[in-house]
Amino acid sequence: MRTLDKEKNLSKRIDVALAKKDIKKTFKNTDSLNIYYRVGTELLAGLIIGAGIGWTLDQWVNTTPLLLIIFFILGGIAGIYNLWRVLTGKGLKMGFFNEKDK
Amino acid sequence: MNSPVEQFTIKTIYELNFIGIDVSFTNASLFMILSILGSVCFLYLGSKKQALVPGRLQSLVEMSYEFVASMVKENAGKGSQAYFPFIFTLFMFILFGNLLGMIPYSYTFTSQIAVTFTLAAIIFVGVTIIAILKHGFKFFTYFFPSGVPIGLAPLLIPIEIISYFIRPISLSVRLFANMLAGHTMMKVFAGLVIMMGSAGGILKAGAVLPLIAVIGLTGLEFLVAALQAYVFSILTCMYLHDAIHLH
Repeated sequence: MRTLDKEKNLSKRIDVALAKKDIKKTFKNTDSLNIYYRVGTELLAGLIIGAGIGWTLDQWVNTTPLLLIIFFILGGIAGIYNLWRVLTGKGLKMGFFNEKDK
Repeated sequence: MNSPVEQFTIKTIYELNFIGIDVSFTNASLFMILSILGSVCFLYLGSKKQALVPGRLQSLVEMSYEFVASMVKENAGKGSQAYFPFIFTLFMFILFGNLLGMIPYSYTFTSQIAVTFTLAAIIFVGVTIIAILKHGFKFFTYFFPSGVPIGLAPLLIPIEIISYFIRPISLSVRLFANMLAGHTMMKVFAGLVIMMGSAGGILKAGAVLPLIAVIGLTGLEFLVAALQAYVFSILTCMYLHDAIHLH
């Protein structure tokens, strides 16, 4: 009986240790130096890509400069969106996150 | 006085033409080859002895291996071990490139956007192919995950697509801009030492200040060289994680 108890105890301890590891992992993502080097280019890249897509589509469908403006703004939003994802510790993962999914 | 950006000029060493395309062997290509040879030599010499109690070189090799292995395991998750060789090669290539650039008179090939963007583009295309092969059509739910109100679709889908395409740009610009800015700054401060030193008078004594700054910057550049190689490979791991697991 005693060994069974011990086993239960052990599995509980493993669970606790694993949970702790997960906590550590989410904290690691918000390490300040890492963040500094990651987010700096995110905003700029958003604008570059947005403007690039807009300009290319404009050349294609002859609507200069309408799509350029729209996609430039969307690129800015995407950059900020990515920034928010990094700062909230979700890494650069894609997609929409519910709080309970964490 | 040399201009601070002169160090980034590409010089042709051997001219080559391949069906009308200029594929000359340049100083950048030379240092890429040196970076590969350097890392191969480092790993070969370090793992040759295979002593039970590792010497200095061997423990450096073991440390770098374990460092990258744990990085891949932690950030790319289950089923990512197959991609370890690629990440390790990438990390060593960039690390040696950055560190070789710290040697005076050498060339930093990671300060060229053409080089870093090529690396980032290979990763981007490769990761996308892996994701499509693994998940097929489900990959496209990436851009519009379930649980989002349908009314948001026209806004959210373009944003998600743009933020997917941001990846190669921000990956390449980050490495290139850090190396470019760091090396330019070092050269500017070093030039200031000579300019002030040759000016005479009170300025001559003041030349000590930029000299101290250069020493500090050199240390900082070593940190940046290692850190940027790390950031580049850790982000590759995260993209791989997304490709394998799809959120």
